[in-house]
Amino acid sequence: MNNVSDMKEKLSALVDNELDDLDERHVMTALAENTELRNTWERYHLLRSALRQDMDAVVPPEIAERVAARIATEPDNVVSFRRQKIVRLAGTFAIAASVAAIAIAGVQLLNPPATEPAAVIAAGQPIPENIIRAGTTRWDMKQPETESALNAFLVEHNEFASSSGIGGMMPYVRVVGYDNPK
Amino acid sequence: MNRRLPTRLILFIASIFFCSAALAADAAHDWLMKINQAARTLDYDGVFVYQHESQLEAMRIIHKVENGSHRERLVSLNGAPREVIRNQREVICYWPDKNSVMVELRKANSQNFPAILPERVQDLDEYYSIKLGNTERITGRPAQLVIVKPIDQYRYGYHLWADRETGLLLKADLLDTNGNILEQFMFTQINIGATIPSSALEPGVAGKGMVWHREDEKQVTEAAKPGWAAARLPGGFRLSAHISRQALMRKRPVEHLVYTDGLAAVSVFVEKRGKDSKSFMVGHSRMGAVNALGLRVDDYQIMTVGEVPAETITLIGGSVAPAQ
Repeated sequence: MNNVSDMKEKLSALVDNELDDLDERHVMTALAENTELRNTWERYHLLRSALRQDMDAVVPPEIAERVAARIATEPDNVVSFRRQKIVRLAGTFAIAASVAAIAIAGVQLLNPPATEPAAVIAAGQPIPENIIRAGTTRWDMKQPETESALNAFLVEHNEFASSSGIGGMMPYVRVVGYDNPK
Repeated sequence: MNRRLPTRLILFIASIFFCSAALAADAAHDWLMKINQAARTLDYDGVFVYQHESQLEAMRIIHKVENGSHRERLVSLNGAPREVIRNQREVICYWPDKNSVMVELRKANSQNFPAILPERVQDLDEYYSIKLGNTERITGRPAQLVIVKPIDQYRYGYHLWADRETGLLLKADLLDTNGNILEQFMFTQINIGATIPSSALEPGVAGKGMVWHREDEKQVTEAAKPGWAAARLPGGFRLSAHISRQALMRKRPVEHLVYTDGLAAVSVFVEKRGKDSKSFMVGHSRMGAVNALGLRVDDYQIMTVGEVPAETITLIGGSVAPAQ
């Protein structure tokens, strides 16, 4: 169990972004396999955010606790939690609100899409990055915050797309009309 | 002297022939400009369907010009009643299903990016073949078909049916490089030139209680010199706008570059993220005909979005680097 305390130290370093690439990858792999470690990592992140006071005003203060509590009490149910709750969170609060973002990014990191983790790790890509995958009909629905971010980009882009080309509101059709996720 | 006459005659006949070919091309260009103009200058209220891949959506669009300024409202008639309301100054997106409202300040007009300009239409010829098709009946009205075909794999093609009387676009197909239909749009009912009450342009959803994301005017500046640039561009694409602003939902400074060939537009967004940010978006994504590519360059998130083939996005997005 010496290993565990060693790992916790590394976790702390990870949160402070003080690990080199090799160590980081090592910790990530461990995180993917160990629930307890994930919980610790979450707490470290929340703690660090609280210390740095970079919580956004838009986020109700209890959000961090709620997220932490849910994750802590439902370690085996994180995936469904993410699907149910984050959908609402992502839309309601600013994506960049740091606590929510950390919580979301964290949960995602710990639960890469079921079909992906082995491939991602094998390919040696930085795991924490949010992977957007080709959706069939729209932005990937499994990652609502990714969808929201992409929509924001699309709205900003439309401003220009609509003044060139055919013009008018047509580019906005996509923003309005992609409802009904399958 | 006599011997030169036939030559003149031949030249004359030849010039008539070439002129008529040029006139035919000009007629197609004129229709393209007419379509572009009609969407902005007419009052109309209509319901249209929009089909992408296997999905079919119905929407209502209302457009009104008053005292030279215009106001538009686009409402989804299926699922969540999402809305976009646009006027001279801003674009407001209501997302009731996400309980949020997003307000974007319009920048295009101040960026010398008004519409298709005549000289720009001629430029299109280098990368698109623009021809007139038949007159067909769409939404109960005679419509002129305009066929816009790309010459390479970096842009989509269009089949456009414009109302013969007013020029308003009644139907449009967006085609991939193999000529397959990617998206379709068609009015099922349209009222052109009707008196539109102002109330029809008010949002149907109450923005009260929703979270508003409003862009701060002071945050939008035309950066003097782009800090970033795409090193590779498909032929015909050039930088048409460059803006520095505070990203709305993301609350970070973002550099926005727009590249266009006159018809298709590609946006490149460059955002600095903290070293500890684990929320980089990396990879390809797609929504209908819109392709997106997320990349990470050092601490920067590069997001490339556009209504162009994935290949174009990859080419442009993959070449984004700090400007020299």
